[in-house]
Amino acid sequence: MKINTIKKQTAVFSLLCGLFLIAITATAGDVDNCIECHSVLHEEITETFVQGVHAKSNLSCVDCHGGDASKEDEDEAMDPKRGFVGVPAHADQPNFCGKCHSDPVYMGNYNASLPTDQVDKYWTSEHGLLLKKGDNKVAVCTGCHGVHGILPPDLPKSKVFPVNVPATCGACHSDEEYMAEYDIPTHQYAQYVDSSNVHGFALLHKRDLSAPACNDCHGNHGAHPPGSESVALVCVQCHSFNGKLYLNSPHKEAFEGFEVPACAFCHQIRPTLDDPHGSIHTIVSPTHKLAGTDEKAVCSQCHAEDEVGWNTASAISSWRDSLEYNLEAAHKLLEDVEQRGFEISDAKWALENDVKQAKMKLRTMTHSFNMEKYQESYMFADSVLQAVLNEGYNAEAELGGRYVYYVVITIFILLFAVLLAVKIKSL
Amino acid sequence: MIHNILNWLEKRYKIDTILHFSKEKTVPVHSGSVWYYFGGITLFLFGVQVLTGLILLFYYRVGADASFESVKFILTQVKFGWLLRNMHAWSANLMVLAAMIHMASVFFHSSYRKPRELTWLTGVAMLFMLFAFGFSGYLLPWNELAFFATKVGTDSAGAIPLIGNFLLTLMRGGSDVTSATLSRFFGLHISVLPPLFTLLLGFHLFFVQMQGMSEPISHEGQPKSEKKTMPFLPDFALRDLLIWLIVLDVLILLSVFYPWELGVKADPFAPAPAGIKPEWYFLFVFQLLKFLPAHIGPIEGELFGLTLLGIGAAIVVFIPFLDKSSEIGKRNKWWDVIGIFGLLFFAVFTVLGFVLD
Repeated sequence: MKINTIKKQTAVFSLLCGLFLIAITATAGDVDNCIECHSVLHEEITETFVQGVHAKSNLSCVDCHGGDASKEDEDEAMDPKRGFVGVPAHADQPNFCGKCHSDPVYMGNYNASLPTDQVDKYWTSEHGLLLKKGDNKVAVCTGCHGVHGILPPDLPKSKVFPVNVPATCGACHSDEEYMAEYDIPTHQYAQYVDSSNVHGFALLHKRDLSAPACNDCHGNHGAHPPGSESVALVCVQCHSFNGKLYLNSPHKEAFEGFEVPACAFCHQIRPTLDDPHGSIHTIVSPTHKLAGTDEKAVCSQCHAEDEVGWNTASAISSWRDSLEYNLEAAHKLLEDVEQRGFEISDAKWALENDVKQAKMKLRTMTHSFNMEKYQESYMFADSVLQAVLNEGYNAEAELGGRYVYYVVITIFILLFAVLLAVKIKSL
Repeated sequence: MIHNILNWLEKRYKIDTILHFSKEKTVPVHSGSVWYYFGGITLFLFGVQVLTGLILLFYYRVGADASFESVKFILTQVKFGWLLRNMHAWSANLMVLAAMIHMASVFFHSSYRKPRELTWLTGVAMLFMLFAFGFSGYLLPWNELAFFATKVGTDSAGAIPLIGNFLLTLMRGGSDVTSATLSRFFGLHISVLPPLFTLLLGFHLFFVQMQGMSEPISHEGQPKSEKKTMPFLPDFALRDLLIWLIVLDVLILLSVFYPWELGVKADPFAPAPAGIKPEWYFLFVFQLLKFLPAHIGPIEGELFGLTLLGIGAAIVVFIPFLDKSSEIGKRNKWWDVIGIFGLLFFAVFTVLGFVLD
């Protein structure tokens, strides 16, 4: 009985020891010795890496750098025979990332919707072209995306999240010393973040992610400055009606001839032929004064008095002034009759919607720079506005009529009251 | 011609008795006679209400998707629709004011005393019904202000213990103010309250005709020969008519120069706009409930306020039975004190309701 018990206890103990050894061995296999060592040697690298998209996708250091993370010995772990490639040279960076990011089959395991042409595009970009020529100062993948703590672009902390893109690009492009050897200005970032810039203001202050950052006009991986002739093609992506009208207008050819940057020339904060690209990264909200012939209007920059363009600008300006004048009159009129208690909500609705829409169409038609087409749109907007004004005038007339009714009724009532008073007095 | 008609009627209905009664009817003349006209003014405004209300009914459509639009239609498309709607709204307010003045004059003259207890009770019941008319009519244009004021008003009713929830659901036709509430208020406004009110008005006028107009306590002891009176027909009736003409002119003046704004359509999903207030005659209740803290001892503040107002209303209703001294021809000055306090409370809280946010 006793011997049996000892045998049983020995068997259970042996089994437990076996399980413990298996557990130890299995756990030892999970240890990432890259992290173990580099968390002490380069704390920042490992800390940012574990927060990045690669670590979150269960990729480890060896997936990029090669080697064997299971080896505790430094030489064994980072042995080139075990595939260790170490830190890639600056010029090798795009292809280093491209090993995975250009492989649709491999990338399909992680994010099938992610494009795999970034590296190809990169080599066509200004950065890629210069890198090929041996310029090691130009941006490579890590310059924009970060090194070890790369985050997906839709995370607000990512360096390429829309709101952060201007600062990421500006880190190099606004550094005069860094950009000294390149023949390009360094004021783009300052111009973009200027509060007058409608795009920058919308993106950075109103947090409107649909507003364009640098990459929306210049491209992402294939970043390239659009030539003067293609600026309109960039703007038309969002401003489709205005852009299409411009592309079919006489200005297209003229602007290309003068090498002025299409839409951006007129819409920049200080358009001047002396420096047509001078402030093109500060695009201001246009007023109806932009098109015209006075000093503030942009048309007078190129057009001399009595030219066809001058006359068109003059006509556009006077029609717009007339519309604005009537618009203000309509607002005042409706406000006045409403304050006097007249129900005028239909006219107010038309003013806020129909007239607004017609005015927008007219504004768009400016980009045709065609007097007949503009006049047609103006006539339409004016007719819609006149209908609203007429409702206001009718309301005003009816209010006047009501006061007349009251006076007439009061006269009758007074007359009757006097007769009654006389009768009462006589009783 | 008139003589022939009267003859024809006399042979069938003995109307001579009624005519004789009318000719014999007199109205006491004294320093407070002017207050008698407020009963007539209230009656005239009721007539305006009925007439304008009936015409509005030709065009008004009930429903969350129709009420606002139909009132807008009345205001903009119907010939003189704006005048009808404004006269209806203004006469409703003036009628409440006239009824209140009428009631206050009756109170301070102790005219509710024996034998006119039922005249008083029917009068008070009609005043409460006027509040119900106002509350239900206010929602009918289905605009933003009316929607939220109804929400606040019905919420207060929900605070009444035991029956609060039942009352709230009964009034709203559900847990919230919806199209169902609008239907109920419309039904109440045009088919429940008018016949009841007309019935009470009939009784009220019948009592007045039967018992004549009350004279002040101080006149009661005087010999008949010393009492000054005026024939009801035609003297008092013509004066009534003259005042009604002036009221009609004021009503048109207000309707023309100070029309009631329609505002924007109610949107049950929109947040309540700032400054939502009830009609002026409910403002004192609203302001009192606002002033009260959340809890007064173990009782909820709102419930405490409603209880106080309930006690006040009960005193008003039962005063003919509580005021024993006027029954024996003496005016107890404490009732004047209570009356003045009540008026001051109403006036101060109403003004505060207007002035404060």
